[in-house]
Amino acid sequence: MAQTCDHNINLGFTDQKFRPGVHACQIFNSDEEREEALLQFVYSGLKSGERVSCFSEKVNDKIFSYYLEQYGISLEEVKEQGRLVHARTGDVYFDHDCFEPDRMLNLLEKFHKESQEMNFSGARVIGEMTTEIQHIKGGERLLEYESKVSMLLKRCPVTAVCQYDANTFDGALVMDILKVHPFMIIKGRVVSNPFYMKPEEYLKEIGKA
Amino acid sequence: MSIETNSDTEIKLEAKWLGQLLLMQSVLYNLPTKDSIINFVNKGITDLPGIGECDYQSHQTEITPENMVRFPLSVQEKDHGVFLLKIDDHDKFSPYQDYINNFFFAVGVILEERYQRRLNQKHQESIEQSLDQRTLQLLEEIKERKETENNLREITLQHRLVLKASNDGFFDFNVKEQKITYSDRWFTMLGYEPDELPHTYDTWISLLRPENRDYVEKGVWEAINANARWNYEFEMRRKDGTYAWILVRGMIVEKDGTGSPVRILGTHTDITKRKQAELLLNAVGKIAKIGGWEIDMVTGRSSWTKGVYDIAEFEYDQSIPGSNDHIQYYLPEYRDFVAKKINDLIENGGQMEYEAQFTTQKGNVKWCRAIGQRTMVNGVCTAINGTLQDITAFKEAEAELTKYRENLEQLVKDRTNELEETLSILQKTQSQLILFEKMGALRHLISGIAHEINNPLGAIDASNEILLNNLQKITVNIDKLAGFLKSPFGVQFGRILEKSFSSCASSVTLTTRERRKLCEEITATLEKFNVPNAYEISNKLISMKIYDNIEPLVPALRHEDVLEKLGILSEIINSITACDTIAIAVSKASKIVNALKQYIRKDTDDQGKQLPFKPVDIRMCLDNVLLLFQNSTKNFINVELNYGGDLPEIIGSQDELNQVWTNLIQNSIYAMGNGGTLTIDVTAKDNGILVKIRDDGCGMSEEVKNKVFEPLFTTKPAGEGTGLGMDIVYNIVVNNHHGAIEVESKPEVGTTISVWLPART
Repeated sequence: MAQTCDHNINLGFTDQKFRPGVHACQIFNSDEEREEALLQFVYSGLKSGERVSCFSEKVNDKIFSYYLEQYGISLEEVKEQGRLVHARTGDVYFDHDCFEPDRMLNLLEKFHKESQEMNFSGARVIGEMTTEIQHIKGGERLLEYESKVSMLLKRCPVTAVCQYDANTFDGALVMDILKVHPFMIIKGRVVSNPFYMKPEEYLKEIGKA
Repeated sequence: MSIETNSDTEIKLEAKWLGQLLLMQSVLYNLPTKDSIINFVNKGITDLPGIGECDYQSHQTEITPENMVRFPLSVQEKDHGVFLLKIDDHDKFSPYQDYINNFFFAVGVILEERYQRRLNQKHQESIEQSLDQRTLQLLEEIKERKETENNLREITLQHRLVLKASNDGFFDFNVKEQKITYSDRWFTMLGYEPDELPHTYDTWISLLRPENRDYVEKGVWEAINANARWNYEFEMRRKDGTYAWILVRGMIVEKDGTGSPVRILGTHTDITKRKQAELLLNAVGKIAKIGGWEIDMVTGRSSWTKGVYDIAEFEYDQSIPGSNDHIQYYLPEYRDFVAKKINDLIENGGQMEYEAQFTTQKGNVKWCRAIGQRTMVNGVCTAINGTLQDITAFKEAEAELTKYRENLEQLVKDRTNELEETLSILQKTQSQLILFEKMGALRHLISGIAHEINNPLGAIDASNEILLNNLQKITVNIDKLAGFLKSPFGVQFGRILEKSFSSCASSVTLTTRERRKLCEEITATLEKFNVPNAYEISNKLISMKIYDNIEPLVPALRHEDVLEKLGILSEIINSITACDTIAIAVSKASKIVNALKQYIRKDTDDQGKQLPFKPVDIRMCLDNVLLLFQNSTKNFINVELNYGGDLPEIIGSQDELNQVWTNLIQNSIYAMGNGGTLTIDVTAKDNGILVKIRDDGCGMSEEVKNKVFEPLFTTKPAGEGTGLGMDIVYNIVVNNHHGAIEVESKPEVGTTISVWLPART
């Protein structure tokens, strides 16, 4: 039985409240910016009793542990309890050296379902898309994937934040990324993205509808 | 359900587009590069209403195509390019043109900021790089300094230990405090006791030679400031007032923040001997007219020592010829020769040496001797260097010497000819002198020889007269005598005659006294047998050489005519005696003649050239010489001859050896003026014959004995000797016959001359 999401959540950046299922992107240009956003988002989820999944190459257990301990949260404990799932980006996104949007969407859906079954108040995911996506097989379907995530999240309201490094992605691609994320995290604030194109519209434009 | 009006819709769209511009503006800040920004803007700006295309030009152009709107990205006059927007719908676009202007201004600001950031970053990177480098340098310096300090500490310790054992003095100079710690050796080197003088800078200054003090102090400090390790040479006064040459070697071991030395360590070495040697070397170089030169094969430039400047007569500040033009200073006939020598040196190495003539800067022509070697670096000849010596004086002297040698050779030739002539004359003179000496000896002999020959001749003459008289008497009485001898008495008288004959053969000449005594004895015997006229008969018997065994004759002697008969027999006997005398005299004269013949035998040919040596009978030679001297020896000198047997054979010149014996015997006879004994011993000795001629005459003093072989030395009165006799004896024995001669003599005792002649080998 699907859990109803009738409460608003905080993403950890500001006091802003959002309905679960927010799909936002962060264009960062420094490790500090990425790390700060990631840790705030994770802590916020754990704090609100949500199940949190995190995919990152740079932020390791040591950084998590140090950050969470200052809030009295044990990393080991939350991991044992299944409250925090932490994996490397490449291990999740590029299984078998290939990017498969459908597999990822299934995983996301499965994550949402498991979170409900485990009676979490909600589920959130934050992941850093690495530059390998531009070279790996299936990488060209990134925007399609992102657009379909927006569609999925309507059905499976997992709050998702995608992190992109402005130093490794070209400005034109950044503009395209903006078009598939309804929200953006700009200078610690979550803003509605005026460039966002609805999935149906976008997928139709790129011929994937 | 709400109903949206047109106005609401427009407001929403306006908000969306403004939001897009703001969002783009926000994202732009995160994009790292200009290209990324341009791409981002190009992609996003066309979402805005009325805008068809967007184009970016890196540089602003004056030309703006139709329906295009320019949005220059200029901030602070820095051209960041221009965006050209193609406007499809001016009505839709125009309400937002200001916003878009602002947006592009923001883009320009961002690009400017990026540009400035890049500049700053570049600058920062440069600074950081410099900082890193400087940090590394400092770290290295710190490391080196620490190592240096450690090494220095160790070296200083070791140095002090070494210096303690070495001959160098040591000092530790604290520059700021002007204190210098001097080692014991520093003091003793100058004749002071350790610590006898204060350990201050002023002590060192005070010991410098006063007239050089300022100059040396300035020079030392210039050396210190020029190099961390420095050295200088100067004179310092010893305690005894004399000056020693000192070599100071120093090292700055500590500096302050401004780089000025704080602490200096150093040594003093006494180089007085080396300096003296250098002064000597300079002086020698000046005397020897020698200098040093070098040609840099890379630059072609030459460098000379003062010596070469002097030789080439260049001023010391004058430019000197390099590798290309120095050959021209040699005389034309030497240029190819010198160039080849130098090329050989450069290509083949070894040592170059040549002598050549060159023209000095003042136009004088000189001779030089150049010696050189090459310097190789990585297999390439980089320089040649060596010495140049002015040998003009030597060459001139050599020419003079050659001239002199040529003259000398002629002189020697002339002189040799003269000497040969002189020698020839001398040889002739010597031969004449020798002949003269020989003739002198002969002259002395001749009188004796004449006398000795004259005596036999006198005897022969007298005997001949007797013989003639007796023969006349015998002839007259021959009949009487024949008849008488046939009578009975005649037989008896025959016995008397027979006995007389036998007595004559062995008779000796009686002295008057002997005759008288014998006459008395015979008379007594006859008277005993009553023989009448005993005395007269005795005289007759003695004249007939009948001296004994008279008794058997007594009957015949009693005959009445005995005296007459004995007279006739006596005449016969006397005749026989006269014949004997003649024979003896002839024999005697013959011996002398033979001796003389032997004596004057020549051992030279008709040209006076010495004939080959022949065996010589030394005894015979001595006998002959003695015979010739018989007249001088027979009356007062007793001659004793002791000839040994088994004498070896001597090969030599009999003529020359006769002269030896003649001179020696003559001298002995002369020395025994009042008589004496001349002893001649001939024995075999040391594979030769030793002849000793000894006299017991007046002898010689030591002084005379030492001069006895000197030519022209004589003790005889003027006119009696030439003074060459013993010199000739010495030459004949020692030089011609390779024998030996010795003289032993004592005044009033006598002289012995020993002559040794080698046996035939």
